[in-house]
Amino acid sequence: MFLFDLWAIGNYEWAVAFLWIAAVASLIFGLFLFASYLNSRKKNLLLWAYAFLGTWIFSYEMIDFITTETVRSPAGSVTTVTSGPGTYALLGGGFDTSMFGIFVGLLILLIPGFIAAGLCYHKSKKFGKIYTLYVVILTVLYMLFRLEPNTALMPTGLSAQIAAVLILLVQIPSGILIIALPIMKEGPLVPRTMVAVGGGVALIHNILMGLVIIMTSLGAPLLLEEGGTTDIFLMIYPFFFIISVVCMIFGLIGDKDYGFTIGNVKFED
Amino acid sequence: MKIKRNEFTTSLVVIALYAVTAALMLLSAYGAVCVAWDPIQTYAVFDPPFPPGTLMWPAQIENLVIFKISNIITWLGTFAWGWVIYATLTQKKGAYLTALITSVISFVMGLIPALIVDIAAPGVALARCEVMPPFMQPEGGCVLGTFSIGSPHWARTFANLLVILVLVIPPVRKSLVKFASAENRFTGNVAQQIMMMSMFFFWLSIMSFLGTNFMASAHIVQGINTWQLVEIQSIGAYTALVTGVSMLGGGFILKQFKPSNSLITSLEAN
Repeated sequence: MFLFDLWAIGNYEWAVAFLWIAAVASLIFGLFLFASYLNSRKKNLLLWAYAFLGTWIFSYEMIDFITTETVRSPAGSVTTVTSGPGTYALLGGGFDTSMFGIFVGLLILLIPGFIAAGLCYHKSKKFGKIYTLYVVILTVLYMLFRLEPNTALMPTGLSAQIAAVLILLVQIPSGILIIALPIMKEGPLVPRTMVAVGGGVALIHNILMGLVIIMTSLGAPLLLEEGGTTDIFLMIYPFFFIISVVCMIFGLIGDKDYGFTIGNVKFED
Repeated sequence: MKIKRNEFTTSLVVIALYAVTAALMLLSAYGAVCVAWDPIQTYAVFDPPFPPGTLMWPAQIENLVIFKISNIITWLGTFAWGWVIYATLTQKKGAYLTALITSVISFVMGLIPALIVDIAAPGVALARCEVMPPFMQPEGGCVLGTFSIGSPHWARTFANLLVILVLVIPPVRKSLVKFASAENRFTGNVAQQIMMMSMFFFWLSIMSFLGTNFMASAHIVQGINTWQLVEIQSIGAYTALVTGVSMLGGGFILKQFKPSNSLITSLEAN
């Protein structure tokens, strides 16, 4: 009897390989962008270099999160799922960002923030500076509110709620800028809209992630076999992630107006 | 020959795919060592000691030669991908063909043991299945029934298949061929190339340590971590690390003696 059981492949950890591809691609392009910045001193290239290098680190954090989530005891009981940062928070419930830890939370702000800031710099230096400052200030505030529970100055849970709001205050405008600015730009349709497509796909998977967090905090089951959706999300997340990363790479590198160059390579511009 | 921006980008994304395939092959090589080479030192700590072949399925015992050959090719394939990445980055002739050949051979040598392991006659009971690590026990119990993709051989098999499928796409092939044009060489001289390839060995070293960490938690039998007994598998990680450091250091030294073009032009040249 020939039966292809998708869930038998190491509990969908095979999808993690796509996160690895995204991680390596982000590292390579982050370094190339940084080299290009050193040649041209264009701030948008530096900001994108930071964003892609941050994406490289974030990919590994997501790999760790997903693979930790899927390790189970032989009994398959939810209560015996191996503890990991994501698992702990999902089981504990609560709509907060503790599932990722403070370091990854900073990346969730900085990655879309710096990509949007780079696009703003390309539009106008002043606009770019203002938006970069906005992202940095909100990131610092996020860090402070995430560290606040150590001081117990605020009611329990309030600082986590504020931190979650700060994430939205960066992600939503950044998402809008990443989608809108390339579309509004003049030039050939294909390279510039790739950035918008990448931003749109990233927005979709961020919304899905948010829905998963909300539903689990309201008591929804985690595992597919119990009627939950977390398993499905963790399985499809790597595909969304790699599509958004690759689209942004093609868009930011592919459009000559953004100023990416490599020493000794002659592009057909 | 000038290259289009999207062709350049495509080539670098394909190189990232090569690197991940190399890492998956390395992890698969690790994972298959204990079943291909049947390390007898594992048995000494158990009382009574397991007979040889305990940690193997009957199909593996019967086809041990195939598993050993496959494991050797998997180890070699990891470094073959390193050569493919080097050849692609330094625009050597035949880089595309080498990639295609490496992926086909690796795919075939991954598919054969994977199929052997996962196709079993219904009703066959695994030898001493109940003492196997949980991840090795098939779902549904120790009496095999249906085919399901579950052995560690599949990861690298699918990865190599993905590479084959990507390489045969005409725009990708065209991109890689144009990327290999000597006029567009950006990797500099030998010194810089050595330094660049040291990154690949650092990458292998990272994946080796990650794989060793994963395997350690998956090989607890009767409360004993049997992975710790198979210390030879950590040698791969340390070897890759020492190789990477040596290449980086050697590249730095060599660079002092050889002038080079560079990814980064000097400010005076701007």
